[in-house]
Formats: sequence, C-alpha cells, structure tokens
Amino acid sequence: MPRRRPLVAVLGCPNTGKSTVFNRLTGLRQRTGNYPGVTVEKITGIARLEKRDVELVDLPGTYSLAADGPESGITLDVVLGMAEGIPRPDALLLVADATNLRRSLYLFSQARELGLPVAVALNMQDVAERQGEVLDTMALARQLSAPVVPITANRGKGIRGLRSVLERLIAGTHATAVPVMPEVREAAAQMRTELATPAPEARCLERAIIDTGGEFERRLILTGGDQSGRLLETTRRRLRGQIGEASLQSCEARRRYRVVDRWLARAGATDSPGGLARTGRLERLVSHPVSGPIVFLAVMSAVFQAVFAWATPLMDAISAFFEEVGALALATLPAGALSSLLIDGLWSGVGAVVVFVPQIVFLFALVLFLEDCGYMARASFLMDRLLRICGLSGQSFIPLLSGFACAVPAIMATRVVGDRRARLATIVAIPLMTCSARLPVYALLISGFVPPAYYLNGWINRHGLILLGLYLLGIAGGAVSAFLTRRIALRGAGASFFMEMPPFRWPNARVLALKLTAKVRVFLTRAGTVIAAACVMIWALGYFPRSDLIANDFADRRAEVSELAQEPAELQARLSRLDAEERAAQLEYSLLGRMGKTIEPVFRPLGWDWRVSASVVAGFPAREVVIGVMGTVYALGSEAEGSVGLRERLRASRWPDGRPVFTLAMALGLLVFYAFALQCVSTVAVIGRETNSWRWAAGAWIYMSGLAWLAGMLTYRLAS
Amino acid sequence: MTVGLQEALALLIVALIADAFIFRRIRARRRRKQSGEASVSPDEIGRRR
Repeated sequence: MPRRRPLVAVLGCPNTGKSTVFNRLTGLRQRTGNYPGVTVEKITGIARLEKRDVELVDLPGTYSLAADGPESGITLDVVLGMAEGIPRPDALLLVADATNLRRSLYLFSQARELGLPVAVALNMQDVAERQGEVLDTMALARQLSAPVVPITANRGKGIRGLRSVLERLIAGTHATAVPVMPEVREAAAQMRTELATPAPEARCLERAIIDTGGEFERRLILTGGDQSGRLLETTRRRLRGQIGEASLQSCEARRRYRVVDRWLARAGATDSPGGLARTGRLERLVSHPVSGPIVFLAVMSAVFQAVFAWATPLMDAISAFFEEVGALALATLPAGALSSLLIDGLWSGVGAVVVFVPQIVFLFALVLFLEDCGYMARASFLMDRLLRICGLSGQSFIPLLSGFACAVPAIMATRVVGDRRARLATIVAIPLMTCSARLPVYALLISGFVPPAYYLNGWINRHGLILLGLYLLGIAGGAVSAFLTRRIALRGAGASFFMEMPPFRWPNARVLALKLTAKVRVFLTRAGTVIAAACVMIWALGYFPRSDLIANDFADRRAEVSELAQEPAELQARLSRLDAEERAAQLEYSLLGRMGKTIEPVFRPLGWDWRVSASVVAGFPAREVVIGVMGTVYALGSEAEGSVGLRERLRASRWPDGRPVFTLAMALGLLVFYAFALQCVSTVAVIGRETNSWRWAAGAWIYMSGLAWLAGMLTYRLAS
Repeated sequence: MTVGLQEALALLIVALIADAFIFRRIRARRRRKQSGEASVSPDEIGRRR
C-alpha cells in the first residue's frame, strides 16, 4: 500500500512521558503508561503539523537499542523498518526525561547512528526547573547536532514548538553521526561479505556482534546456522583483542557515557542540589562485600514487614467492610437468585479485587521509591549471582520477594526483568512463593490437625516449624521450577544483565504518586475486571442448577421447626442451621458440587472425600475462599467460618466406613498441596496478561496443579 | 418476581458480565492478531526472531 504520510517513531526510556507526548501530538484518546505485554502493542496516530500530517508510532520504553528483551526488540524492529505492517520511519522523536537526561542521551547516542534525523523532546521541564537542573538547550542542540525542544507534556507546554520542529525535521536534511564503535561497524561490514547466507541488515549485525546472547545473535544463528555462530564468535574475539577489552558491551557503555557526559558538560548541566548525591560513603556502604548484603537484608526485611504491617489492617478492614455490607444487604434484600448474585457473586467479586489494593499500593510505593532513589539497581546486582544459578537474573529478585505478599503485584513487577526468558522463568517461580492468602489455610489446617509440641525449652514450637517448612518448600519449589523452565522450555544463554548504576537521589513525590496511580489503575481496570468476572462465573457454577426437590424439602422442614413452639433464639439458630444445610445440599446439586464428585476419584489418592475436592475446586478463584467453601460444604453458617466450629466439624467428618477424613497425614498432604497449587484465578489472569499469552497461564496452572497433586499424594502416603 | 424469572435474570447477567469482561477481550485480541496489529507476546517475539 503506498504511504502518503511521513512516519515518525516516538522512542524514549521508560517513564519519560512518551505516551503523553504522543497523545498531545496526535490528540488520540488512549491510555498512558506501560503495562508489560501490552507495552509491546504498537500504537499509531496522526499528528497535524502546519503544512502536513505525519503518522506517529508510539514505541515501548527502552533504555538501549540492545535487543535483550521484548520491549527493546520491538523498538529496534520498528526503527530499522523490520516490523510487520510498519514502514521504516522517516524520522525519530526521542522523548527524554529532563530530570534524568544522562540515561536518555545514552539512547540518543545509539539512535543517531541509525541514519535517521532525530529530534529530542526534553520532557518534565517543569520538574527539572524546580530541582534546579537547568541546562542550555541551544548548547545541547549544538552538541547533539539535533533539535532539542524543552516541553512539559502533561500540561501541554512546548507542544506547539515541537510540532514545528517535527515539520522542519522531515523537510530538512541531516548528517549521519559518526559511530561510537567504529571497529564494530567495520567488522560488521567485513562479516557481511563472509556470511554464506543472505546477510542481515548492517545495524542488526552490529548489535549481534556487541550483544552476547541478544536477540540479533539468536536471529543470525537461526538463519545462518552454526557457521554464522562460529564467524560471529571469531569476529568478537578479534574485536576484543583489537579494542583491548574483555567485553564489547561494557566497552560500548563506557564509550557512550563518555560522549554523553561530554555533551552534558558542554551544555552546562549541573548536579541538582536535591540529588546526584553519588557520595562515596553511601556507595561504599551499599556495595561493600560485607556491609552491602547486611544493608540489603535490612532494607528488604523492612519492605517485607512494612507491606505486611501496613497492608494487613487495611486488607482486614476492606474484607470486613465487604462482609458487613454483604450481610446487611442479605438481610435487607429478598432471598433469591438475584440477591445471591449481587452479594455472593458481584459484591464478593469486587471485594476480591479491592482487597489486593493496599498490598499493591504499599509494595509498589516502596519498590518505586527504592527504584527511583537508585538503591534497586544495587540490590539487583547483589542478588544476581545467586539467582543466576536458577537461570534468573538479579532483576528477578524484587518480583520474587513481592511474591511472598501476593503473586499478583509480584508478577506485574517482573516488567523490570529485561531478558525475556529470565522474565518468564520468574513468572513461573513467583506463584510458588508463600503468599499471604495461603496463611489462613495453613493456620486452619496446622492448628486443627497437627498436635502441638515444643522444643528447646519451649522456644521452638512444632506449628511454627511446619509453617517455616512450608515457606522453605515454596522457595525450593520456585527455584527448581525456574531452573527447569530455563533448562527445558526456555533453553539458551541469558542476555547479559547490564544496568546503569543511577546516582542516589531523593525521589520526586509527584512522579512517584503518578507512577503509583498508574499501577493501581492498571490493576483495577485490567486484572481487576477479569478477576471480578471470574468470581461471578464461579458463583454461577456453585449456584446453578437449583433443585426444587431440595428447596421444597427444606421449606417443609422450616415449617415444621417454626410450628414447634420454641425460644426465639433457639428457633433462629435452628433456622440458620437449616439455611446452611440447604446451601450445602444445593451446592452438592450444583455444577460445582457435581464437579467435586466427578473429580473425587482424582483426589482419592490424597485421602480427600468429595467435600474437600469440591472445596478445592471452588477455591480455585482464590485459595483463601476454600475455608468459606468448606464452611458451606460442611453445612456451617458463615458465623462459624475459620473458627473452632469448622475445625471440629472437619475432625468429625467420616468416610462411609467410619474412618475420619481429616487425619494428620491427610492434613499434611493438603498443606503440601496448597504450598504448590496455583489456586488463584487472579494470578492465572495476571500471568495471562503479563505474558500476553494464555498458553503460559494454562501451562503454569497445569504444571503447578500436577506438582501439587504429586507432592500432596507422596506426603499423604509417607505420613500415613 | 418468581423464582424462575429471578434465576433467568441472574444467568443473563452472568452471561453479560462474562461476555463484556472476558470473551469480548479474547475476541478483540484474536481480531488484532488476524489484522496484523497484534499485541505481541514475549513468546511470539522470540519465535519471530
């Protein structure tokens, strides 16, 4: 199809306000912010300039053109004109964060070598001015040999100037920049003549040479086979000798930053008074071989404790609010399918979403704070070696740690993992970390079925040990899963983990608040709606079909009970017991109950009867639900949930031959099952969204369910 | 309102919610994929390369 309008690609580092600039220029109404998986969407729009219209394509944020992850891969594809359905751009618009220009100019130094005219939009100019980070934009433009426009995109300041710069950029001519790595360019040119297969684009070959284990290396070997791989390795070895460096990647980074620092110095950049405290003392403290890990452990335990200490009361309050309002509505509304849908389906579904918000807010607030103040980069480096054993990278650490609070925000946090395979392996490992939703199930089963015992003069108790064991089991399961995923499904060397050590600085509260709001909004709109909808569907499975026979039978029994003259309190108690029993009978008759009965033989080797099986099936939306469901299944009213009553009833449940269902062996097996099972629709939904592939979500669910079954069965058999 | 009518209405609402929040998204994704405007999964990118 002939192209009518010039195409301008908008690129920049993450969180520089690219999408806001894009929206300002195109006027398209669309979401800002980048959501992993979704960020890989290519968004285009038309920008009206004075004399012509241009087409803009909004690219995902990336720190470098080195294609080591999905985001940067797409960026390079589009910029080099290799993306399907998008022609090669006529110009590039680089959106830079004026408060962290060094990082953006690194990307610029790569972009200017691609042979396209580049304009720089210096965004967040207002914040930079407030922080005293003012620099001479004219001088910077001279240094960069590219137009530089200071803007404040969220207020629309400077957009008009940006439009006229784009107009001139497309109409004018430009000089191609001298490469920072001329040796690599020469080597790539020579390699192109030596390659047997059709040679890839020169810039791709340059990236293949520099980025060990990167996407372009993989592509080269894919098309050219081992011969290309050998040639690539020979070229690299020769270059390393020629340059006198052990790593081409670090050589590139060093050279580019030298250039960037020179540009900045000549443009009059000054260290801001609030930040850039690259003080030797702090740096030494956090990077020291001894004090570094201590500081790291202290910071991480503080984060972990804070998330639990701050989020738990709020989560409890939210749960209580939803329960109270639900109970009030239940008492007010006439009984029936509609009120049940409204309260047990919709209202609980919304509650199941909102209850995650405090954890997401606190966790992300702390993680964003640590990220923005520059500590996270250091923490990731400290953990890198340990995680590399399992095929992960240092960047996987924070997501894994977050997994102990809740897998949903933790999986969302894997966006920081640049390498695609390491990111997917992290996503597979996270649901095995013991999240807070497992605790109520653990508490009920441990206190109910494990006889208490104390060791070392009462300092250590058996219940605590079992709980610790379950946490360690989760960690071991996660490590093994990540290792196996990397070995079987995602083979190959990981891309090198390169990360710029940002200077320590005091984060900007407004920027933090904006990022946090975006995260929460994304959770509520994207994952939240799916979770709530899934809860409603599970409600329907547990409610339909209804049996008139059961309803009539219980109506008769209620009438009988009411006719007998009794104390009002006792009458009320008997009626609510009848209600609970009817719910249990209808549940047994419902699709969910039938599923429980059908699936019972599958779980028989674990020592479960149909009630436990149905509870586990019903607990699929969220594992903490299983206690409530057991309450219903074992014909207990909601007033007894999680209390001694439920424990007693579980203990009293018998097989037809009179043997107890809940034995120590069965409870231990059930505990181990819960340690491994992916009983959380929110997590499955988030895996689907984050990987943008439901196959990964289904795969993770099947793998973890299989693992849980096997481990549960083995535990039951060994303990019996 | 009769019990049957209530149940029918409840089922209709469940179907509408499932359609709006789950199935519509799946359909939209499939459409985007077919039109080449796909939101690309990390997995797919790996394969393409």
